[in-house]
Amino acid sequence: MSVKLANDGGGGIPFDGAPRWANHTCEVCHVGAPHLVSIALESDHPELFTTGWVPEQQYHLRVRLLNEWAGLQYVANGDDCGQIDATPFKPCDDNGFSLELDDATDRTTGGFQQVINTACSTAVPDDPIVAISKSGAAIHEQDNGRASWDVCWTAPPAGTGNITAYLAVVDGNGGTGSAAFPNDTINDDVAAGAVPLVEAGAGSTNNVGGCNAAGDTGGLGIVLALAVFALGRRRRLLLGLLIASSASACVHVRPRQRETLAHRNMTFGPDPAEDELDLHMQESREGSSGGYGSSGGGCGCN
Amino acid sequence: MQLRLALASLAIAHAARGDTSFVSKVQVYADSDHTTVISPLVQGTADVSPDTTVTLGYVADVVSSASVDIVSQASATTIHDTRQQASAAVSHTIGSTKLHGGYSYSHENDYLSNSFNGGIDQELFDKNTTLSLGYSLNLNDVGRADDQNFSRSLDNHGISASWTQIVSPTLVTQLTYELGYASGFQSSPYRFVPVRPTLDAAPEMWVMETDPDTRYRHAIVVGANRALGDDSSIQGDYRYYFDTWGITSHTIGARYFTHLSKSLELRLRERFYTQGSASFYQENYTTVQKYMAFDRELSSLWSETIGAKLSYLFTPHVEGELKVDIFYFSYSEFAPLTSRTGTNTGIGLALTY
Repeated sequence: MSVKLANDGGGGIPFDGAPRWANHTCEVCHVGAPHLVSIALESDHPELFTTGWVPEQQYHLRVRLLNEWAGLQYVANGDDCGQIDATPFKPCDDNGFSLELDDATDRTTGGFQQVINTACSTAVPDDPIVAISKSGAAIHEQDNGRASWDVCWTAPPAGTGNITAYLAVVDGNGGTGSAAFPNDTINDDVAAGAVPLVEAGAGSTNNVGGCNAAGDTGGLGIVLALAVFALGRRRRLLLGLLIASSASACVHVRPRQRETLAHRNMTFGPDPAEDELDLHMQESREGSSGGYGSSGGGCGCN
Repeated sequence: MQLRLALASLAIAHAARGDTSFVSKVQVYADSDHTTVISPLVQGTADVSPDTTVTLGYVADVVSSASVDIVSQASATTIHDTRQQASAAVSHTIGSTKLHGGYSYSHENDYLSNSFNGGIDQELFDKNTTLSLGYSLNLNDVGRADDQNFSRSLDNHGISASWTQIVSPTLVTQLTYELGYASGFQSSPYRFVPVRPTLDAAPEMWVMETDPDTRYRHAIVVGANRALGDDSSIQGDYRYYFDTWGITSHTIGARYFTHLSKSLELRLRERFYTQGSASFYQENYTTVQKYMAFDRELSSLWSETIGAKLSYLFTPHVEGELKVDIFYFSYSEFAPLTSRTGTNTGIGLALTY
């Protein structure tokens, strides 16, 4: 396999949140990011994210920067920008990414290839969009105005076990827009995250206590099953609750997988003040109460 | 190669939110039963140490009502009342354990309430599981306007336990059980029950409403929050409730959140509620009974609420909101009122650092 080696990103270190970089992301340099952007990892084989990776199989991966906002006014400049001797000077919409896939020992695993004309290729493009760093991560080359990057990844041999994809993006703001400071790490935006990938057919080790990790559909099914149970007899309800609780207790989601769960709307009762007002109104107009938190004191007789 | 896209979900919170905040809201409730309630609320939360957070709050209900509860009595009138409540709460985190407690004082001209609560949240299994236990005590002095001799007490105890479980990077579920026990005067001091041979007949007498002195309440709630892509999520919950007065109810709620832009978020909500009547409730009492109620909240009813809320992030630290809920109540066993419609509108401003 022949790929271009590069030193770009973090002074030669692709800070993508991997343990070998002490979990540092691009934000280690691009400080003060407001976190308005998001990040996504996509594959031509959707089952990569469900049933897991297949040994020796090649995957076409795409890293996407979502909700880009910084430097958008410079997109039209494309690569015709950043020349400090140009008059007038044209700033760049300079975004970047880093992706690596690590095994359970936190070492990179599998291998990257370039994407040429939407196909995986061992050839080296004259003007690559993606480069492979010396440390084994896929990172951006200077292709300004870009918010997504494609790379091919060949899975390692069977028996490698669980793999984690670490990825990070920078939404660059074009520096200060001047020849004196054509680029800097200030006022950029950053997003980073990790995606667990199990080895297909090897049995999940992404669990606790020997239980299989439940998928989203299964979890939602648990809740729906509870609702059905609840329409029956009370004992069936309690039995259903116990079964559901036992099943959900088998799941283990790592801290670095909880970016989405940290959203305000993924909490129960995202607006406690509103809940207090609504509950007080509801409980004074219905015969039921309880289960949703406090509605405050007082009569509520109106 | 045709790229079939599948998503692995990663998303970063759109606004940093800390524990220091100031929230101000005003909600206006208005229904077709001639009742209007204006509820201003302010609430401030601050970290007093790296592990300790204090919350102070104030809320009021300014009520104006000519509901059938009131006009069906001998002294038909429109009542005006104001409830004011001040509250304080503190939480302290020790490792994976959070202790919290609070107190609130609520006052209106014929009702005084002191409420205490405390609880513990314990994170387990690398924070995948959170178990919570709570206890609340609510002590009430019930009076009657213009009647200095009327004084009753009502004590409410509540014990709750909840289990919050992360199921996947995009799904979290919660199971809650709450047991409530009420002891004391639970009727309305203003409501009198007509005794008459038929619903159409003139009352032979009016008897003061009498509910049982004790009541055990059981509420079981299951809920789930599911992320849908990067900018949307859906929440759903179901509550099964029953008590020793014979009321059984079902509540289904759903909320959908989506970002219309980087700064503008839309929430759509739906809530359906249905209950059976209390065992001692009768639409018409032909003779005097031990327990008698003229309370539509103890009759069979169902309600439906739909609503929308827009939240706009002016800056990463300043958020405004506007909401409108529309509701409909149907009463099948309460002759004076067969249905009620209304709105619950609100505006709010939150500062978060």
